[in-house]
Amino acid sequence: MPPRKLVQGTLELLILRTLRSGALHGHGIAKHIERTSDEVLLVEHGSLYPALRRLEQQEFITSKWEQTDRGRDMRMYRLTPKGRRQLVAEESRWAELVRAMARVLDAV
Amino acid sequence: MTERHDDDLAREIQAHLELEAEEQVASGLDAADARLAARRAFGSVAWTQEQVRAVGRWRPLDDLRQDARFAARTLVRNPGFACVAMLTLALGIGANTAVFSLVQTVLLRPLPFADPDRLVVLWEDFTGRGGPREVQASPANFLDWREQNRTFEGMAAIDGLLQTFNLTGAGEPERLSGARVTGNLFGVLGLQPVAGRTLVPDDDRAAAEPTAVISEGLWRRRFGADPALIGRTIRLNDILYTVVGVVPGHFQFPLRGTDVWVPAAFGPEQRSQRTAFVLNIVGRLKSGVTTEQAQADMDGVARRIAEQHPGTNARLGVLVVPLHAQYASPIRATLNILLAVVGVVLLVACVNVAHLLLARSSERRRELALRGALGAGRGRVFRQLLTESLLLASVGAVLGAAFSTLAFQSLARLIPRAVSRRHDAGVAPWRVGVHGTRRGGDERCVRRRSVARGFSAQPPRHVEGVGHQESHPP
Repeated sequence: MPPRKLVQGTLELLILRTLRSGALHGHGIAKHIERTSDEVLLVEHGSLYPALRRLEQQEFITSKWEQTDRGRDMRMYRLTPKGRRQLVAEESRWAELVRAMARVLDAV
Repeated sequence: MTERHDDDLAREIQAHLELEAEEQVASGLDAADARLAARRAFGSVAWTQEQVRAVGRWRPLDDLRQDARFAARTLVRNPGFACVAMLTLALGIGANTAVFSLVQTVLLRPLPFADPDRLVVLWEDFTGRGGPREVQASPANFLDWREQNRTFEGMAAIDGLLQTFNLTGAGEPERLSGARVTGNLFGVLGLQPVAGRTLVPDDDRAAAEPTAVISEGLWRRRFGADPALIGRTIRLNDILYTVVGVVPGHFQFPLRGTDVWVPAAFGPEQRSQRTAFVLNIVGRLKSGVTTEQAQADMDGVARRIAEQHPGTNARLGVLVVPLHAQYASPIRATLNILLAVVGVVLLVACVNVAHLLLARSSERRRELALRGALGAGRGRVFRQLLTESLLLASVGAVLGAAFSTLAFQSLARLIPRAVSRRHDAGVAPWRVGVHGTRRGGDERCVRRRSVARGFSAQPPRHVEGVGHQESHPP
C-alpha cells in the first residue's frame, strides 16, 4: 500500500505513543514510526518538529540536549505525567473512532 | 517551558540530517547521495523552521505582518509602478471624496434647528397668473396665512431686504448687515441663544422698546464676548437698541454675514400692504402634519383670501416647501451629475491600477513559483498579493485625502452664490474611509477637520434659497 499522509492530530498521538517506552530524539521518533508501521506511515521528518513543539507547549513532553552513547549531541524528548494521561485519553478516543468507522463501513 | 531559539532548532535539524545521512551511508549510499537522501526524507527545512516558529502564535496576524513588510519592500523596489498606481488611486479617491463631502454638506446634513423636518418655507405662487412659483410674501397675506391656517404651529417672517445698520457710539463706527424679523422667528426655528435670550413676540409690538439680537461673530469680535453686554444698549442707525441676546455663529439667516436681528414691528400701514412682496416666510408644521397636508390647508387659505380680496389675490396661491429641500434644489441636479462623473473617474482609476498589477504579474511568475516551492500554499500567495494591493490602496487613500482637501476648496469656489461655502470648509473624514474600502482596502483616514457650509440668498425679489450657515467649534 502506498504511504499515506498523516493528519495532524494523529501525528501527535503517534509521537506520544512512541515516547511511552522511553526518551528519543526527533530522528529516532521518525524512524520508529516508520519501522513499526511497516513503512505504511511515512512522515516527512520535518513535520515532526512543529508537532513536537506543540506537544511541548501543551506540557505533554519535555526535552533536553543530551549526549547519546555514540557521542552525539541530540535533543531528547520525554513524556510527562500529564503527557501519559493525554496518551491514554487519545488512545481511547482513537479506538472509539475506529470502531465507529467500522460500524459505518460495515453497515449494509 | 523551554524557550527555543531559531539557532537551537537549526542545530537540532542539522543533527537530525547528519544522523539520517549516516544511516543512508550505512545502507550503501555514498556521502553526497546520502546527504541528499537525508534532505529528501526530511522535507523542506525552511518550512519546518517556519512551522515551528509559528506554533503558539496567532497565524493570521503574524502572516499579515510579514506580508505587509514584504509588500512594502516589493513596492519600494518598484518605485515607478508604485508611484503611478498610488497617484492614480489618489486621483480617483480624492476626487470622489471631495464631491461626496460637497454633496453631504449641501444635501444631506441636517439643519441646525430643533426638529428641522417640520420646518417649511412658504411662497406666494403666481403660476395661476402666469408668473413665477416662488415669490416673497406680502405682509397682509402673511398675516392672513398665519391667522387662518390649521396645520402650522407657528409662522414667522423675515424682511427679504437686508438692512444696513450703522453701529456707532462704541468705538469705531461699523456697517452691519441686519434683518427685520417677526418676534416669533427664533421660536419657530427652534434656535437657542448663546447668551441672553432671542427675540420674542412681545418685542415685536409697535410700542415696544427697540430690542436686538446680535450674532456670535459680532459679539466676539466687537465686544469681546462680554456677557455684560446683554441688557445694555447699542446705537444702530442712531436708535438705541437693547441687546437682549446672542445667537450662535452658525445662524446666518437670511444671508451670510447677518449680524443683527431686530423686530420687524409692522405698523398698521404695513399690515395692510397686500401687494408689496417683500417677506420670506418660515413655518413650523404641527407635529405629525405632512407637507402635503399643509399644502392642502394653505391652498384653502389662499382661496379664501382670494375670495375676500379678488382685486389683489385672485388666482394667487401658496407654495409650501420643506426647508431642507428648498435651498438645495438649484444645485441638486448638478451635484448628482458631478457625483456620477467622479464615480466613473474612480472606476477608471481602479481599472487602470488593476491593469498595472496584471502587467506586473507576468513578470512575477518566477517569484511566485519560488514562493510555492518554499511551501507557500495558493491561499498564502493570494493573501500576499492582496496585502500588496491593500498597501497600495492605503497609501493611495492617504494621498487622496490630501488631494481631496485641495479639490474641495476649488469646487467650493465654483458653487454659485445660491449655495456657497465658507473659507474653512474641510473634508468629511469618514468619506475618505468609504473610498478606501471601495478599493478593497480598509484604511480609514481619520482627520478631524470641520465642515462648514454657508448659504446665501439671492438679491431682492426672488429668493430661491433661504440662507443659514453652520460652523463647528474649533
